[in-house]
Amino acid sequence: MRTRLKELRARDGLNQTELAKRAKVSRQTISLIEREEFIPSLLIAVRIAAIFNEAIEEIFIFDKEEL
Amino acid sequence: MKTIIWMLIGGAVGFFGMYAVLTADIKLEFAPVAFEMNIALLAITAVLLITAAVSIVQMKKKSKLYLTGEKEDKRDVWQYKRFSDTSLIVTAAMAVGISAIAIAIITDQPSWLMISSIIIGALTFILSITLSSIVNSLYPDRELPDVSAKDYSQKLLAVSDEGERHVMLEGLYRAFNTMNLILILTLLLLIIYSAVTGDSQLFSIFIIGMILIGTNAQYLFAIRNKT
Repeated sequence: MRTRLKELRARDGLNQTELAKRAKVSRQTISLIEREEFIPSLLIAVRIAAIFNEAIEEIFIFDKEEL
Repeated sequence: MKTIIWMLIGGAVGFFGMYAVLTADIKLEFAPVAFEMNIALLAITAVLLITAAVSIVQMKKKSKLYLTGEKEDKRDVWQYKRFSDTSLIVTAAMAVGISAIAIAIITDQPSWLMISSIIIGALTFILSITLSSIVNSLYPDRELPDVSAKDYSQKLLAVSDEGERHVMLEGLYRAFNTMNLILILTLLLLIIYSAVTGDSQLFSIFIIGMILIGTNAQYLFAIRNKT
């Protein structure tokens, strides 16, 4: 899974701590997702998508083989 | 075939190694060096305690700074790593401190050394509680349980989010497997020690065996009941 989290944070001027507060998770979790070391649950993915006003699949991108 | 050859080589090395060890008259005496060892362990514990205390003060100081943007993230990373390092230092201090108390009591050291060992040992426990209690000041926005709360560690796990649990699971699973292996190796070492020195370690062997059974049963019952 690839993620556009870092790019979207830069676009909206959010640091990891601020995004974590809004998504109600820890900064560590945001960092893990950004480093593509952890796939978030649907609930967190929905929250993050809502924060950036984007569709989930526009933020978390899976290769065809993964699906 | 290759495995069989390695097993035969291992068996031969084990047999002749054990034969050599058993025929040699080896005696391990702690008593002549117990005093120096006790002092050294106390000194190590004191150094670890001071390092941990300085670290706690630094963390508290840094947590009060108002930071934004990337600096805020960097501070969080620094705090997280520093907290983990300090936890390791406190745990090491506690283990070394308990060893110092053990030497002082078992080898009948002077009372001042025994009292010093117990005081330093108690300080490691106090520092451990202090360290747990600063989590709340490091993360004031999070609703973390109070360190004096009943089932503190379970409550702390309950408030951890999925990313944190993922990291903990990886670390704990690795640590659990390593601990199993180390305990089995310790059993073997104690058996060899008992045979070589004639100083029976059967009590320790039984205790370690029970720990192995207890921890593995706890883990396996926890996973088998989640069908």
